Amino acid sequence: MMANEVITRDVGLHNIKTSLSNSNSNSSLSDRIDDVNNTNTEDNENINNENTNIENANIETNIENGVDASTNSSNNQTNNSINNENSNGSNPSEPNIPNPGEGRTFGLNFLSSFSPLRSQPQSPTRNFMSNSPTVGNFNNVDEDADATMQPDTPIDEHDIDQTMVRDDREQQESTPPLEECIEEGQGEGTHEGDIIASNKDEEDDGKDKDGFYSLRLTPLIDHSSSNSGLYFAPVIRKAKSQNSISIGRYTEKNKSAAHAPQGSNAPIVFKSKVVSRTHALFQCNEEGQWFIKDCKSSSGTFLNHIRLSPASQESSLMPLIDGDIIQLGMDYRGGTEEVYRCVKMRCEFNKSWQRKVNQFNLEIHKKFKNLSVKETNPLKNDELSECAICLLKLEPCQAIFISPCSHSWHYKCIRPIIIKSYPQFYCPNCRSMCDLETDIDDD
Amino acid sequence: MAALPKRIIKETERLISDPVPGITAYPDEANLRAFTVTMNGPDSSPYEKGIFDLELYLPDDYPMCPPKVRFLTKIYHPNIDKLGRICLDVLKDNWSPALQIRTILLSIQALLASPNPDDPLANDVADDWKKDEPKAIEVAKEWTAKYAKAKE
Ligand SMILES: [Zn+2]
Ligand SMILES: [Zn+2]
Repeated sequence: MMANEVITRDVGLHNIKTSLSNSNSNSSLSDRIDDVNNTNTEDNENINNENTNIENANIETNIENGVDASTNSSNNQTNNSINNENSNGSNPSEPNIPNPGEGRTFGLNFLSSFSPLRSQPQSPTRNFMSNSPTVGNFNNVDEDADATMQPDTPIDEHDIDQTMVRDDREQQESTPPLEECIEEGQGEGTHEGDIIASNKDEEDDGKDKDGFYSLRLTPLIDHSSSNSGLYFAPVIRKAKSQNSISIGRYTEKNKSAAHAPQGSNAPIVFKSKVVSRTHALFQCNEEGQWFIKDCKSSSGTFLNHIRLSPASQESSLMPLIDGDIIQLGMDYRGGTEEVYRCVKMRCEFNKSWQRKVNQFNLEIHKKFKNLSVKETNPLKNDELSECAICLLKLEPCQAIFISPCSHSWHYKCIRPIIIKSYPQFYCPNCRSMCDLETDIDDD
Repeated sequence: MAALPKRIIKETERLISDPVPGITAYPDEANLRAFTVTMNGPDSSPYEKGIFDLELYLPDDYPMCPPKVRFLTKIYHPNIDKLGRICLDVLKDNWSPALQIRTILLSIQALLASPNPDDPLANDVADDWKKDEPKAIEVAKEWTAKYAKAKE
């Protein structure tokens, strides 16, 4: 089972790697990795550029040939790369038995070329291939399956998916500005107005109107694992450039920080004994790039499973990107007790988590409203756009559950009822009994 | 005390801005989950012209659990016992979080209009009702006149 997974992953990764080297002619895969291991920012950028080129190329083909044609062409490409990969693999002298650790970092960087923040040249301190191949890394791949999904998906669909995604991107970028969308759509909610207002205040680099940069930490929760790290409510902090936000253990002294309002610059504290009093800090530079530094913690700070410094030694500032996973300390006594659990968290920066309401969101919301039961009574129709449980409106960009009887609620509101009797669902609105495990047929 | 859920705030606002005819419901200042309710007896029922006081309380897990409602005014009704407890399906197993204070109070008013002695809570009253309905209705009217008077 495990081995199987490794293999599929490797094929997927090779696929990408080899197609990259194809586009850049001669350098072999292992050379490339070695180059990168020698670390210089130039190389880093190079690869990012390459990715962008491929992306552009694909979009062009799409435009020229229509989706079908481009799908074919990308399929051909994929086949080529598989062949290459096979021949590489059959050469035993090549020490490039792929390991998931390498692949994972590669995958992340591959994705990183999509985001403007990530395409910033990374500081030399963060050698993006420096992840040593460890079991830890491999676990990381598992945890991170979503983020790395694209490079890992089965070969056939892989390139198609990618082109589709890019297509969407193109479209979304060409949609009219937000304010217009709202006017066109039924943007009656004050809520939507608020979101837009706050977005307008922001500059491109993620700085808010008062010149603050922001970060959000969410616990990494894995319900399938018995020890999934300490649970904590998401934390949002803001800081001006060059200011830092400290991370440490919850103590009587810093009690107030535990209840600091979201968006403050209070220290970030955790009720875990594996976290040192002064464990690490976040810092942000003029460009809005966030960094983390271990401040002589005893049990270590890990960035994507790599320990930043030995015990009680300060690390350098490590640049961070959206989605990075930071771990503070290690589970002690198996982490069975809450206070001995390490803290695992995912980071997001500069309000990247605040999704803007775009044309797509509005369209889907409109369609979803049409899916719901039609009422002739206008009064009742109004009630339809309201969640019967919290009595607030169902708005775009909210998680919504639609039952087979076509009634709908906020997912958060209906969830207790769904889980109580799952898979039987007893609609609170119309009292019809629905089976949520009904087979899904495509007829 | 924990913050009042938005749902309760919203319901309260609506009850005050758009009251149900014949029913008033106001939250207590000290506890916004506790409501003082008055209900007019429905026309052409034994409770006609009576004004009944009730208390309504929203438990912590409201709306996942039904509100607790009780008559404070003495009432002669087969589905309401001496302590004012009400036998009504939507207040028990048939509760749905899509129901609200408003709908529950309307259901209680409907119960006054059509007593159901076959599903009794007050067994003695239900027995009287089944044995001699006209007499039971007379008693209900007497009680209404005696206990459910409008306050001066
Ligand atoms: Zn809701
Ligand atoms: Zn329904």
